[in-house]
Amino acid sequence: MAAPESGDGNNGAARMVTLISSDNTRFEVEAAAASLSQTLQLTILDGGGGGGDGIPLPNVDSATLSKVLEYCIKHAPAAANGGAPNATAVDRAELERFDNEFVNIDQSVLYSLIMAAHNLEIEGLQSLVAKKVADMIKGKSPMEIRRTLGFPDPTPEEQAEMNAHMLEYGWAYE
Amino acid sequence: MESSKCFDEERTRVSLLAISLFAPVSRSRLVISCWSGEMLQVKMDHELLPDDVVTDILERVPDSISLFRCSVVCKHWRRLVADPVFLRRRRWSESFSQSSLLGFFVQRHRTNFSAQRNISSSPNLSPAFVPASPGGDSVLGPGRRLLSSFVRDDARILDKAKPLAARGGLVLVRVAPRSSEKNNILRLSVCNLLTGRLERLPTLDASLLDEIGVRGYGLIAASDYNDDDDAARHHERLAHGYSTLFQVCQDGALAWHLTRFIQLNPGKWLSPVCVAENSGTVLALCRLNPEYAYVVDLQSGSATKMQGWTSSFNYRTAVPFEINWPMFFMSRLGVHI
Repeated sequence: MAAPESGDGNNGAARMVTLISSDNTRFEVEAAAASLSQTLQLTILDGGGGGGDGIPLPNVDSATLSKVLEYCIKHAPAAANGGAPNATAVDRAELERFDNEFVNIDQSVLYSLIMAAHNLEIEGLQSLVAKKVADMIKGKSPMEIRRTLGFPDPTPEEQAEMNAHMLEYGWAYE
Repeated sequence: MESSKCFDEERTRVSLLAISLFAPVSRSRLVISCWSGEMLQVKMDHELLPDDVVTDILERVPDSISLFRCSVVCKHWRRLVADPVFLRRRRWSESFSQSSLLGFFVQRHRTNFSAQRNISSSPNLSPAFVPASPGGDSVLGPGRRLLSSFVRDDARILDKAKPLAARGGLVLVRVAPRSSEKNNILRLSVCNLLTGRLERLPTLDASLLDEIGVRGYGLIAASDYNDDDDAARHHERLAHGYSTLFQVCQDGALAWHLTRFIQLNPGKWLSPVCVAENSGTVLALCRLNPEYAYVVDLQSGSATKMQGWTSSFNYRTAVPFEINWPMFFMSRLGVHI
């Protein structure tokens, strides 16, 4: 590859695209990073997002989008290597460390991230945030899960169902 | 013919005693069928999470118990958890297979169980549950405990009972004969560990079985019926009690088909005791020191020392207790395939 750029990108990473958040902030990123999003990939392949155009993302606000792009930029080199089969253990450990830190965030940010990862179809990020929420669920009672995830108060019927479950399957609540 | 013979593990002549069990419909199943189809709005910080996002999360809930609790968080989650496609696709972290070995039930006798008098000389204890994995991975608790701690046994019929078979959360035991009783009475009970119920089966005349001896016991539950109608039909007929008992006799030897040999660590002098076939594991005992028992994973050949095993256990009575998680969720959440 004739990639004049320095750094990890070996995929002609020079091309930049512009993404526009719901609150009209413009983000300029490498096409390779933005292409981690399945949703954006086709547009970018078609030549969209370059120049003054920009790709509008009406569902993602700027705070969330900058967080999402932080993830994409970090993961783009490994993704360009096709899942990085030749990545060193150090690289992988570094990505893992980054991921752990990345989801160590406020819950409201986490929820926006879940939705953004879903809408933009960024597979790695989707599973990262899903794993984070799943770990938050672990070991909690149904009521605690509801509270953790910001569910509305249970209806009497739901409350009765939870109580009956705890009564019938006491072993699952020890 | 003495009735003790039915406990002998006769290798030459093979007969199988099968107990057919039709567990009563659980309350929760009835509740589900009453539910209407309306969808609960799952709000997460004022945003509606799409199904595949929730499924993504549920798929990654690390342990089965947490997932089981998720099924009552709300109706919508319940429907997602109860989806057979979801349950089959999910990676069950407990083991490579969908079944995981929780532990073994074993009776406490120093000598073997083949003679009646040994039953009466044993301590008045119900069989013990010994978890397979140390460190509290087992959903039935981290430590050794008595079978009677799982079920309500006011009459103490589990004292000195012998575990015979376990499947799908049910444990079949032989109740110890009373001293006043003739030897040829075979009294069986079923413990449902998941619901805490203890059910007595109709008494059997063991003298009928003496001729050939009993090679093994098995449990067939209502959930074994794939066909809804089939299960429902049997349900109606057998709702009250476990009334079907049949006996299958088979001549010839039971053969294990080995696909490869597993080398049990020779340094430990292990002898296999019983096979937990669904999870692909074997309970093995150290010949030099019966204090030590190991769970050997047939896939990897790795041996994990069991905590809580003592030499006072009669290893011949050991019965593996496994759970098939997809089946468990399907039966508990009222899903039919």
